[in-house]
Amino acid sequence: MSKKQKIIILYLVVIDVFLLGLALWFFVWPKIRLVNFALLQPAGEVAIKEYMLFKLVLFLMLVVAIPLFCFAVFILKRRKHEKISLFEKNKSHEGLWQIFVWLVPVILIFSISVINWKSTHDLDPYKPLSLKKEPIVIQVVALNWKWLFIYPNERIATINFLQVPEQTPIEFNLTADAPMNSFWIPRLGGQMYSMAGMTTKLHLQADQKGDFEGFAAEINGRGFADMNFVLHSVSETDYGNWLKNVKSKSLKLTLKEYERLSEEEKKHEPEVFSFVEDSLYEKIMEKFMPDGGYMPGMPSHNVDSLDNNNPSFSY
Amino acid sequence: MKFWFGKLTWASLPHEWFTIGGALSMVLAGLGIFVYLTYTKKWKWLWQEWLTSTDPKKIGIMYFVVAALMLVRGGLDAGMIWLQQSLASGSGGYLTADHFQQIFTAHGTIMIFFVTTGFLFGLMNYILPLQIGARDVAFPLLNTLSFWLYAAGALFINLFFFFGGEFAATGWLAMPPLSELEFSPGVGVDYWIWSLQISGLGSLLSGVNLLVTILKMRAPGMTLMKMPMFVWTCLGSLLLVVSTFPILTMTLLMLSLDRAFGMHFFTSNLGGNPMLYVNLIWSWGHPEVYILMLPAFGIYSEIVATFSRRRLFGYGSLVADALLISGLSMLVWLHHFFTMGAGANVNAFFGIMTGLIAIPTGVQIFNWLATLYKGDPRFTSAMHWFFGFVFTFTLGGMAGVMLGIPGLDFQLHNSLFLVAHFHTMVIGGALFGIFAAITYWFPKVTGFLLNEKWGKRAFWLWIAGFLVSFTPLYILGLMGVTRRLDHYDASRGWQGLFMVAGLGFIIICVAVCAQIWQIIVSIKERKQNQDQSGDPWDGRTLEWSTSSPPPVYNFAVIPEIKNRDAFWDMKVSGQVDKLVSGQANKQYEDIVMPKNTAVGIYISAFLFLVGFAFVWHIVWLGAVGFVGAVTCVIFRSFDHHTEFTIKSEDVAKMESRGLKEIWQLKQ
Ligand code: HEM
Ligand SMILES: [Cu+2]
Ligand SMILES: [Cu+2]
Repeated sequence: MSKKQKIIILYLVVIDVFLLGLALWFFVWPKIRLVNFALLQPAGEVAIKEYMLFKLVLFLMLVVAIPLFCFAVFILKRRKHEKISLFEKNKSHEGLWQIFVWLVPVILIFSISVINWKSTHDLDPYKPLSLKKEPIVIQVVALNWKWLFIYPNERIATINFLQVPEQTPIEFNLTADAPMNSFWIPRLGGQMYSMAGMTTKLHLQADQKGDFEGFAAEINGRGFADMNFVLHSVSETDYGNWLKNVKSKSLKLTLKEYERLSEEEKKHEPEVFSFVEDSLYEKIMEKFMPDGGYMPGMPSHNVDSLDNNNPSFSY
Repeated sequence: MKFWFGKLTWASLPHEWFTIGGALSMVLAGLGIFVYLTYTKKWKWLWQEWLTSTDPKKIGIMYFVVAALMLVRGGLDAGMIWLQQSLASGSGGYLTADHFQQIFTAHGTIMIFFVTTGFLFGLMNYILPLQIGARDVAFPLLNTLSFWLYAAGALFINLFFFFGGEFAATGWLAMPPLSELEFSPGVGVDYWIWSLQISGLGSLLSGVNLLVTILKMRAPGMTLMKMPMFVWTCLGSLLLVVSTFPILTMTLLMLSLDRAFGMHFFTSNLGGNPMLYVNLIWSWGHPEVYILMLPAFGIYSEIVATFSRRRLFGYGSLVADALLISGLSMLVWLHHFFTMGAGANVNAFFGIMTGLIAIPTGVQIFNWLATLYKGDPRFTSAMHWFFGFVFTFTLGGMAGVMLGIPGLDFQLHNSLFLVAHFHTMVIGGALFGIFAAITYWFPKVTGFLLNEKWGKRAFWLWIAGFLVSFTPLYILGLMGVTRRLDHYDASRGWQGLFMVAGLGFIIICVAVCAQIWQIIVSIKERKQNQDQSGDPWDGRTLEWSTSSPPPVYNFAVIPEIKNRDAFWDMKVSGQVDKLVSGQANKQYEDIVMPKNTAVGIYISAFLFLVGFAFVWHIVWLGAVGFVGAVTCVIFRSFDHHTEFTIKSEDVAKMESRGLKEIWQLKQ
């Protein structure tokens, strides 16, 4: 074996070890918590399921990929002794091998497809999380370049931060009054786009107390990188106190104030409003709709259908 | 003034450091070339031998030159992106958000449209006709036109340095409403639209041309199932080109109508719908990534067969794979926006279709490995690229399968994990394939081999640099870092990993230097590395049966194909001497070849003006450009003397002379 081949093999072994390590790491992970690995430290029901799905799929693929790598290493390592004849009479086993090479990926992908179908329905962001507890509804408006959160039932609003009780499902209704955006709180679960004149939905829940960071994930102009917020998950009582506290202030979000806010284009510090204009969210959506808001063939544009339990936007 | 210059004013001329720098360096480079050509009196030579040539081999080389230049341009962008992200902890960094966004938009656009696409079309131009035993492509004029449209697009994307000073800051697919006038009022997006419009038209025409070439111009006896694998995968890729580039053209057209005439295809209000754009652009965009990948698969097939001295194992399977990949890739576009709120059924359908693509892809890899297993492999530097590809591509494919599961994509979408995925695919898949192809076919093009030692060094540097720069991105993705951040809070602790990625970029730069050095060394040592046989690797397909470089007409005598791996078959059955030297067959026939033409250059130049007119709203210029282009087409259609004949005596002469004379004899 030449030196170079040795290097190659060494190299491949390193990759294999790396991959194996990765696989192990994911399974013993919960014990090793480091800071910052948002996706590997889920803190909410949805994120936990997504993380488990991640591990499962990674594992299934490694089952096929590692033998494949080993085979490649074997080919590199092997020394051929017999000289290949130019005439290649020997075509045996080709058929068998073909069955094998199709069967392996087909089985793998078939099993992943089953997982895919099930998990997609299970993790459908439009699906309410549990029926036991009434969710808090939060309307999200992506502005340039800040997030406006309206609590329609509590009639308060916040900018660039959220306060929610732990272990309570949250129903986000999302829209935008700015370029298309993507709303993401990695430790609680995946993203959902927010688009002007339309409502999309996302159900999440924080299982524990803590501060969870949220991001704008879709490029949307100059202030993109600063469009972050924090979700504070607190106990039920703290949440109640907070609500009372907010209510006692006198910052009002009227339509006029909203207009001012949506036009100012700079980094925004977190802020609360003790009172919100009636159906502000619907009014924001209406801005984008001709003829009183109904666009044929697009239920998402129909304001009337915005009642909360009925997914109003679907293909 | 307004009539003559539209929106163009003095203020549009360069006045920021990066536009001044860019404009100045381009002017200087242009001036240098101009002076050199004038001084050496090479203008005429350049014009007659190269620029107006209809020889697909020369056009192929010109594609390579432009693509290499654009690689440098895109590479500089990449360096600037990484530098910014390494420095931009807190409010640091040396770029404004706006400038940073322009850079990554330009980077993505250039790398996909002008680098990878350019290299692959160049390769197809050179190799396809040779592999199918043809003397030319089906439509030679269309071929120069395609190339020049591509070159015009490449020039166009750099034009903002001189006029306007801004490029799109929207990401490489310019999603509305961000790319609409309301949010991007400047000319940047218009530059983006028209450079893609011009070069995209070139790709479409190339697609039609090469597709017809494959279907109609194969040597007698070469049935579809006797075609080399590279031809098959190109066929798959070209089918995608002709079926999806029209979507791109129309989508860009609608966006430009929105921007130029205040229409509302994709605006948020007045009945427009940005989601329509997202769907349209990805129903071109996903096939596009396979347009780039399929020819690379073909390259690997050729290399594996040649260097294991064995016919490809599972040829039938590989053909099916190419066609399946090509078909399936048109049915998966929604996986780029699982997060746009489609229902679970829709998401699951597209998720599963996405997974299905992994099947033919996996089968291919198994078959290549089986070929190597059965054969007698030689680990040349081309094979190094192949093995590098197997490892990176498998990793990237695993990441892709994960992204194809909606439940996972919700978390990974728009994160650096996604960025790492597609760089693994495009670099480890397509770009490594191109490097392998360069190593493999270089002796065919020049008549001497590339230095193996430096080739291997370049490979190891590349793969090390690649891993060092993209592993951190996978990790950052898992840390929940979104893509395209121009800065981030210092408290997040991301900076270290960004710096490691930057280090990887430096290693890649060293790797590129090694490649350049490889070429320099090889040219210096070309005497020792000369290959007079035309078949340095003991090849299997027809391109190795001609001299290196091949004569204008490729084959003095069109070969008769009896088997797959036609040239190998001839070698084995002893016919080869007849074919290579032509000695046994003194009866050459007259060969009719297309004449040079500058029409392609003129049409492209006029369309370039149309694009410029649209960017700056200069009506008269647009009219001139349009009428000019149409007039060129009309005039050309009256020209009946578009071909010339090489007399059989001349063919005989060329065949018996050395390579150098052949090059000089060519018209
Ligand atoms: C096994 C095969 C593959 C699968 C399953 C796959 C899957 C995916 C998925 C699901 C996405 C969207 C992720 C998201 O936006 O959240 C994606 C993005 C992407 N893929 Fe792949 N992919 C595969 C192969 C390739 C290949 C061969 C290439 C290129 C040669 C490629 C290039 C890209 C690019 C450029 C993007 C991102 C575009 C963008 O958002 O800017 N992929 N891939
Ligand atoms: Cu809609
Ligand atoms: Cu895709």
